Amino acid sequence: MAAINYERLQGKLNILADAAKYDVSCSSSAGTRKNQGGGLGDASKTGICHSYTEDGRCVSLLKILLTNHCIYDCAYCTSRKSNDTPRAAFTVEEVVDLTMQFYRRNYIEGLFLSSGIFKNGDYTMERLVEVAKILRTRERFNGYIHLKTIPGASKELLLEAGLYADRLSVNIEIPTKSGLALLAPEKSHDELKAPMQTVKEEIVTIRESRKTHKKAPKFTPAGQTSQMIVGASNETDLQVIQLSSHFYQTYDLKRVYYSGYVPMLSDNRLPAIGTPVPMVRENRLYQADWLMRFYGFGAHEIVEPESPFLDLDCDPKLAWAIRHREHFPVNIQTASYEMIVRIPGIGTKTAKKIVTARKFNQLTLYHLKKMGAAVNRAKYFIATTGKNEHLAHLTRENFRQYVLAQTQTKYKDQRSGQLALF
Amino acid sequence: MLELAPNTAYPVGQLTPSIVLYEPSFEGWLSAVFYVYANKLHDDEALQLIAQDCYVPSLIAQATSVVPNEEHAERVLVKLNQLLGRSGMRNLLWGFLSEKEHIGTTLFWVVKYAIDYPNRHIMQDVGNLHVLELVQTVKSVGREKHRMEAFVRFEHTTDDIYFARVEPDFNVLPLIGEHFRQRYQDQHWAIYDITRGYGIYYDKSNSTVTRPATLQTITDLDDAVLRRPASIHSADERRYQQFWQGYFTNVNITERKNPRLHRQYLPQRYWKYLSEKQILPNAEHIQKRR
Repeated sequence: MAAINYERLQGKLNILADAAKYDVSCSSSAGTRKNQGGGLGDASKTGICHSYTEDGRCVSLLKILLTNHCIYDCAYCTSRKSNDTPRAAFTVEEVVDLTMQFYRRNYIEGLFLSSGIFKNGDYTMERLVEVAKILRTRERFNGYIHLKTIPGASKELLLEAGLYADRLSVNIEIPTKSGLALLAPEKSHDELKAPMQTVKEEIVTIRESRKTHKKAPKFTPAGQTSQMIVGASNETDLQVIQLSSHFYQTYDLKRVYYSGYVPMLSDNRLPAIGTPVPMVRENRLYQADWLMRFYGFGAHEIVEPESPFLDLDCDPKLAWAIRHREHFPVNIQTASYEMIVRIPGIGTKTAKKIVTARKFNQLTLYHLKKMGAAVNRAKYFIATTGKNEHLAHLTRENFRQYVLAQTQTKYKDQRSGQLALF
Repeated sequence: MLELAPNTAYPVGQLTPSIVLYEPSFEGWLSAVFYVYANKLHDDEALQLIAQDCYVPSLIAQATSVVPNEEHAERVLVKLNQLLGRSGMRNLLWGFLSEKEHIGTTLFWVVKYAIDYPNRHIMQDVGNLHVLELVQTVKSVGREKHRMEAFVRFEHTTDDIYFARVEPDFNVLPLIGEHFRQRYQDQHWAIYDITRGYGIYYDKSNSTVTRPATLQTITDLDDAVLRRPASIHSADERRYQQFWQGYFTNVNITERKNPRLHRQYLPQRYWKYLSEKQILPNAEHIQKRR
């Protein structure tokens, strides 16, 4: 193998980490690889965040681009062909070395490898697969590997990638077809969805064959994910949520990530540099996403066509409860689990605790507080065996204003800057 | 007079001890539980079980020290296993490792609840304030365990050992060993708890292809090395720390800087041993240069 030039490696790493930073996915969860035979690495089922950057994001994987040279010119991307930015490229061995050495020091759970597209999709994808293959075979690495599927790469390469990687992802980038056509004319939703379909079909095929052949190889055991940028084109939250719902249902995606657009390029098709990153909106989208995946909400309940944006002033579950007061109060002593998780301020863990603890006790707001519920929100929607004087407000005229005034975050000042976008 | 009725366990005239001191090990605590039942103190509502090393003597209360007894501890363990099962025992052990001031007493009330109601799944009754206290303590210990699995930073030494120093809030080394043992099978490594003065060590030469080596306990490491591990760094160590620092700095999005959130996820007390938090702002190696 070629010797590594360590003097130049630091500069490359800095450039290619910077270029990869807008890819949000950092999750290392749902890995199932076990360390068998004295190798290195053993997956943690729930994933581990080994550090947090100053923007408060988790650092779980060595997230880098193989190269930021790119033949495409997508307006929203810092690696676009026409952008004047320092370029670099790793060799396959350099990525392998960094991954192994970082992992041995417990810096990371594994590797997230993406790339700008050089020459063509297949040529790029081949190198990503080569990295994963060397790590798995020569280095006997059992840590987490997330590979980006490069648009236009052949089906054969995708299938090979899935044998070494725990997770594959292809970014849909812009939530609307028209937005993508404007900002990335060389890409289309259909082209981006094609690899998703291939991977999904193969997951199903392999899952079936593993039923009869226990030793059949695993294929992307942690499934596939996608990401879309919000705030770069003029999409509505309704469009975003519906697209996510479509991905979850049609392609069985594990996660959809939302990346609030950070204006760093001057282009009249994009928000101007200096426009605040829509962080509150991004946060609300993640909350809505959670409601779909863990709380049994349908996309149509979260955002309704007559007001196609999420309420930035309160979380989407509280917003739903305020719109649908007819479902409340919910009696925590008797209601079903499905209804209890719909109470604002009560998460899935607390709901489970309620359902077990109520067999022993008549639960009060005090118990709920001790169990970790956000009682300041929940109290307006709950009936307990004893009296709950907060329920009187449920039928008020100006209920929304009242509840929001009572549950206002003390960090409002720091966040209000975000709202200027709309 | 009722209150002067002879107590069979104690000679007349001796006060019932409301404080039972145990030697600070799980076995020591189990022996104390045995003692409490053997001497019928378990209905005393003011009863406290306190670790010897945490006890501050007072004039009013009378304390009795219980010497650990393997047989007694074993008998309590068997009984509790039968009552609480594996997950219940796990809760007791994790709670114990929190080393919280009143945990010995809390654990005792939980155990008494289990003994009094043998047919009840008492660990689910978080409406009981002792159970709740235990469940919450277990949660904190679990969080610390997870943090240690995340924040341990190995430094490669001239002896080819990957060495890490930690100062966890709770005594979690017994809980994290297995995670690291499974993960780092093909390298020598050690994690040393500076606060508690002991560590765990994995010697890969004792491993086989099918079975990772058994962990060993190490104590009394050289103070000078613990204060300045750079003195035993291998030739490559500094290079990879710098790579890591460069990576950490550049993967951050400055437009989204959020110090409050950063501190919430990465509390300042852990920074001491995180090399990525030791970067000088204008350091040469974090710049983007080709």
